[in-house]
Amino acid sequence: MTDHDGKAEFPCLEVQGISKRFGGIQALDNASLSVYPSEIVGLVGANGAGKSTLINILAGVTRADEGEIFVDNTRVAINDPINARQLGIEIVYQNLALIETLDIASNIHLGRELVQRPRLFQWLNESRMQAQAKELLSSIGLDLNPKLRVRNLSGGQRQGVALARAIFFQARIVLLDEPTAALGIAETLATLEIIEQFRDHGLGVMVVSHNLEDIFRITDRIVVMRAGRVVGARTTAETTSAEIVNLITMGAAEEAI
Amino acid sequence: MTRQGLLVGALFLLCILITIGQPRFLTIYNWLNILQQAASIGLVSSGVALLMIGGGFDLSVGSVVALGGYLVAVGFGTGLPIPLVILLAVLAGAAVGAVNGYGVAYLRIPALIMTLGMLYVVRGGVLFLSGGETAGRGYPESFTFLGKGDLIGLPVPVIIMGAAYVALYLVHKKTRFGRYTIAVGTDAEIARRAGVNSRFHVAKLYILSGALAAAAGVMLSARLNASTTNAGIGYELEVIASVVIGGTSLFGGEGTIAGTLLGVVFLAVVHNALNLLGVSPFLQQFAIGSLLLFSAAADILAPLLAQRRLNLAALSQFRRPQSG
Ligand SMILES: Nc1ncnc2c1ncn2[C@@H]1O[C@H](COP(=O)(O)OP(=O)(O)O)[C@@H](O)[C@H]1O
Ligand SMILES: [Mg+2]
Repeated sequence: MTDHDGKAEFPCLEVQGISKRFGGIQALDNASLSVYPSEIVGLVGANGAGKSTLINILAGVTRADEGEIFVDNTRVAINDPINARQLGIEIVYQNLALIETLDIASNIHLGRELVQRPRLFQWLNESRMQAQAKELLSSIGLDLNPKLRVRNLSGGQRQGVALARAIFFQARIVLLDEPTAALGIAETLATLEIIEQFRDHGLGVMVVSHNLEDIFRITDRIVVMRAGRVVGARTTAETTSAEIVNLITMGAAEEAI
Repeated sequence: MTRQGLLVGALFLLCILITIGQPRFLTIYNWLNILQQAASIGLVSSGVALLMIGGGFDLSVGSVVALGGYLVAVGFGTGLPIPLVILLAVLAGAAVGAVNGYGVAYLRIPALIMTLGMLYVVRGGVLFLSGGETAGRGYPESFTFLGKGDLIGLPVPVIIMGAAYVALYLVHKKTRFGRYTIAVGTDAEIARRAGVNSRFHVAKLYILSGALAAAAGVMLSARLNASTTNAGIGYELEVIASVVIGGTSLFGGEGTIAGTLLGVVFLAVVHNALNLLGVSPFLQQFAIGSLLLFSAAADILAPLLAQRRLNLAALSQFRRPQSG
């Protein structure tokens, strides 16, 4: 059962040979990586390395030109965000992607509202959604009134809501794009703690960050991208900050993962 | 919230002022008359309000009103039964809305341009097909009842308008459709990432706006017992002014259906007052246009002013407690 750091036998998410061009820019060039259940993979690289593009492809927001995606060893096509969600992939976007004018509960349930019977009118079951949101928030240590509008929340609270939304519907894979970039120290620590909870619950997690300290604090493995290519993958416990920085900036010889 | 309060206050003040000058104003008869006059613009405004909450915009509604009336004439001309006549007209309005929705949501034509184009396409089409004159008159009484009749002491058009507002209020507040409308109006891309079919939803809002505009055209031809090809000219100003004065954001995502009805009534009272005072219709247009610009400016300036007050509060040692 265990040949990978005591983790599961095969990855819950694997991408192979993904390429993507935007006009003249090769945003992704034959990129491959994998994420196992109960592990946190850190995805690092300079600005423009292609990290967000990779996440957007897995989210169904952008289409890859080439390459294959496997979820639980099964080849899948991710054509739109609904597809990704059905596969158990949840995204915490760089810009959080919350609707400012809606309240917390509505944001958590957006696209997956609970409706009352008869379903014809799609009448919202507001009280149940509020109750579920409340319970979910407290499960990740957030004491927030789910009726608050997102507009009135602090950066850390918004991040909490985005994280809560990501795990609400039995996600098995959570991808986070710079989840702490806009946060203060306390809020960053709280967010990292929640991400670790995801792993402890058996999810496969991939987190993009520029903060190597954060990356070394929570990840099990680190994947480095440069100019659209994966230029290295290291087990966190067996590498150093200096080596990762070196990979990010100059890159070692390209290696398979 | 405060916008609606302001509007109710202004309406109240206006009513007092008019009543002083013209006591006849405060009779139920006059009020029912005002509401009946406002019913077709009110019906159109309800659909445009939801559309604008969803981030859309529709200048073509006035022409669709004429299209609805024209198809009433055609329908009765070919001997169709009343329900089919109405259905045909409303479906045609929905079809115009579908074209608008397709252009805006799928071809990404700016809503202003798309619906301005359709304003002329539809108006021109109706004028051409009808030969530029009254398209029809002298309809069955069971049809004109929809525009002139009374039910439980209320004009039928007022009942129809009221029903539309109640329905759309519930749609906005209580249903998934309303939730998606707010979401796509705030940010269509974020909504898409959450799994909402944003484009299709926006298209549906244009269809709704078109269908309600055509229904208003049907109601208007019933009230006038005739279909005139110039019906609905200038509606876009009145409708958008009602929606914006009612507190719906120009930027989408926020707005109220009840506030829109308040806006409709407010403008109707302004018209009524100016009529009673004998003010020229030209000046009335001037006044409505100014009101629209005022509320648009308020919509844009209010957040800036709030910001300023916030900063001033920060300078004061006597902080006001944060409101929840
Ligand atoms: N939608 C787009 N259109 C054109 N170019 C894009 C688009 N998205 C990303 N790019 C380009 O692709 C490259 C990779 O970008 P991105 O994935 O955002 O990098 P990262 O997240 O690692 O900073 C950059 O050169 C960027 O300018
Ligand atoms: Mg990025």
